[in-house]
Amino acid sequence: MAAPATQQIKIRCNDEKEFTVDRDVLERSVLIKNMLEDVTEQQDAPIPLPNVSGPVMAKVLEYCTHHRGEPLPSADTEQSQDETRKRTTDISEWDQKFITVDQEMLFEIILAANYLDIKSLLDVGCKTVANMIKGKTPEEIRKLFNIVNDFTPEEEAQIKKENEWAEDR
Amino acid sequence: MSILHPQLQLSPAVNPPYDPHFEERCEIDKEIHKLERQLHLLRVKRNSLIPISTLPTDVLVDIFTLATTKLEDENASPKQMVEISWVCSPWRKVALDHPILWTEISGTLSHMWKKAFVQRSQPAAISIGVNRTYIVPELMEILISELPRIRHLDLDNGSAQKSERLTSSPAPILRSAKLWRVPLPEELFSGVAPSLMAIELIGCEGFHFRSVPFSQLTELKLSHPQPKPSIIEWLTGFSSLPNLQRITLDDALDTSLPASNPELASLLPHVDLPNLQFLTMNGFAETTLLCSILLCQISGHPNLVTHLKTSELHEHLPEYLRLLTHLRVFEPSHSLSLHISHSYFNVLVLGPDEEAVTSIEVLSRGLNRNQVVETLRQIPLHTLSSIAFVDTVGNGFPFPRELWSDILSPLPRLRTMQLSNMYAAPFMSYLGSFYASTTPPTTTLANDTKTGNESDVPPPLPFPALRSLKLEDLSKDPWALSSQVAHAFWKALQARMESGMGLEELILTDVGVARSEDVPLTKCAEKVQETEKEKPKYVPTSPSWAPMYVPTQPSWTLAG
Repeated sequence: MAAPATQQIKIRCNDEKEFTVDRDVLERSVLIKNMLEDVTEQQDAPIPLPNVSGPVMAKVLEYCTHHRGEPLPSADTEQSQDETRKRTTDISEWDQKFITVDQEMLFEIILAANYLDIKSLLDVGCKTVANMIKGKTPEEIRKLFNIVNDFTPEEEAQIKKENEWAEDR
Repeated sequence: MSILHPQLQLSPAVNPPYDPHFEERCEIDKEIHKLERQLHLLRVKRNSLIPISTLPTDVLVDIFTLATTKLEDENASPKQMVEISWVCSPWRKVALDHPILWTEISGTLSHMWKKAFVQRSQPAAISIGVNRTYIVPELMEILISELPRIRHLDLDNGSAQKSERLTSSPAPILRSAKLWRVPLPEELFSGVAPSLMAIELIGCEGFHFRSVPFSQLTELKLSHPQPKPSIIEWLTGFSSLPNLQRITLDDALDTSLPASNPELASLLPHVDLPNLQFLTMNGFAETTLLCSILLCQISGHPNLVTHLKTSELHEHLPEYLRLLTHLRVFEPSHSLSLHISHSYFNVLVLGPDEEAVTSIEVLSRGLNRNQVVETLRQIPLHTLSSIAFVDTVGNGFPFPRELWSDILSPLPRLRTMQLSNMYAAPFMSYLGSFYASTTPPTTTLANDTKTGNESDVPPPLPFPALRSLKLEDLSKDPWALSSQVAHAFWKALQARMESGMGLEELILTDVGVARSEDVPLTKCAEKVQETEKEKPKYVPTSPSWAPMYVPTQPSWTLAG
């Protein structure tokens, strides 16, 4: 007996780009998974994803395809404060290569993962940015992300005061 | 309302003398203020247009949490959160609005910063470390008042401050406590620490098992307690902590009841600790012998791993080997190891099924080259699966090549070898010349070479099962500087690969000139990892981001 064909789902991004994707790949996204579960009859109309562009969705789908079949984190695994702190910033080799993109794309992927509720991808993105920040001075962080110092005079005065705390015993 | 810059406002009590430019200056000041305000608004607007500003606050908080998480193996700055809060106004606001970001309060933070972290973290649960260098009376008061929300406490008091009020107060959410040189009360935390799972007491006075009435404890570490409980007290005490999974005792046994006492065994109770998986006992020769007796009285988890560590071995190796055999009789299923520091052997590990050594680590401290060679000659090494030489350059002489050719070869079961900061040239030279002078058999192992005419039989292949080789910090090795030695060595590794007995893993760190440019590393092992010691700690500030992605074999297709 032939194996049942994988259901194909259509999605449409905010730039009108459309993808036809295997359902199990798409269900890495909890948002889409819930949407599909809510729809009882098969629909031909593509699922609109107004917050994601075509190029970013292509990248997200590359990730979901690679990780298809892996267990999804269950919804009730709210991390305790301790567990959050214990999370390491290690990223697997494939994920590291996958996430080596320009900053604009990196933050777009994080936003898409957040919107689509793909926890593992969000985690990879956050860890990447965290690793970029680790061990850097404020000036180095500003330079890295092209941030300018926009503190108000009051904030500047407070920071100057905090600077002196370092020497205190 | 005044229109002047706040710093330039004049007191109404002052009657300024006639100044022809006063009005004009006021106008300029107004203009400066206006421009400064505009500049600030432009900066704020500019920051809102950069990619990272698109991230929602909860994602940013997650990133900051990850960036400030200190891992065991890295020196993350305890002030990383402070640095983040000094980047720009929106980040500062996010940082100050989220107490969870200030909950890791390192012992090395200054007193003022500790206070700030404690204040900013309210009301979240905190982990706090207090180093005796920084401890002041006010901080002790803060610890006492904040104890209800302390989850992890690391207090090095050094008897500098009165800590009784702290250690006698209830700690409702405390999960782990590490107390250094803290006088212990009759009942730690008044016996109220329902979440306490791990406790470590180092050099604490007044220790007895009544001080830790926490039956839920899973981890107990005790170093140099005062007084040291006797072996009987230990066993009785363990029975009140039935959930223990990990016990570490460091110089913690009273030796007034000598191990040689023939009545000792009959006096000892037997303790059932079904969850105990790790038992480590450190001490001197006498304590180690007592520990071995104590070990025999404990029934642990079927996979219990026991480490006995001692700092005296020089003259006692045969006794220790006998001790291990003795223990093997009592606990045949346990993985058991004997660590001997301050000596030339660090680890002798017995395998699970045989009374032979499976792992050896040779350290530099107290190293006597000839003693090492002679002892290695006496130990049965046919089951050895792992060997490491670490920091053995200290005595100024390399081990002779005979160590490798006569004693450590062929080691038919050796799978992993580590040579760190040692004179590796004799090893490299031996392996290199072996392959240069011999056509190595591809399948013959050491055991197969015992029959036939001795003169016709090729020498056994050294380390036929070797799959992982780690070479570290060999660049100071003058003997390895010889390019012929290095070249022959790498050629030998290549030959092993070609004959199907190659390395699965080759890890090189700061190997420097011991490398040969003529032999590509990819031909020496299936997986090669090469790093320099002075590797950059962080992602470069201007990352060489790859251009846009290229999807590889997607499972989706563009519709239409």
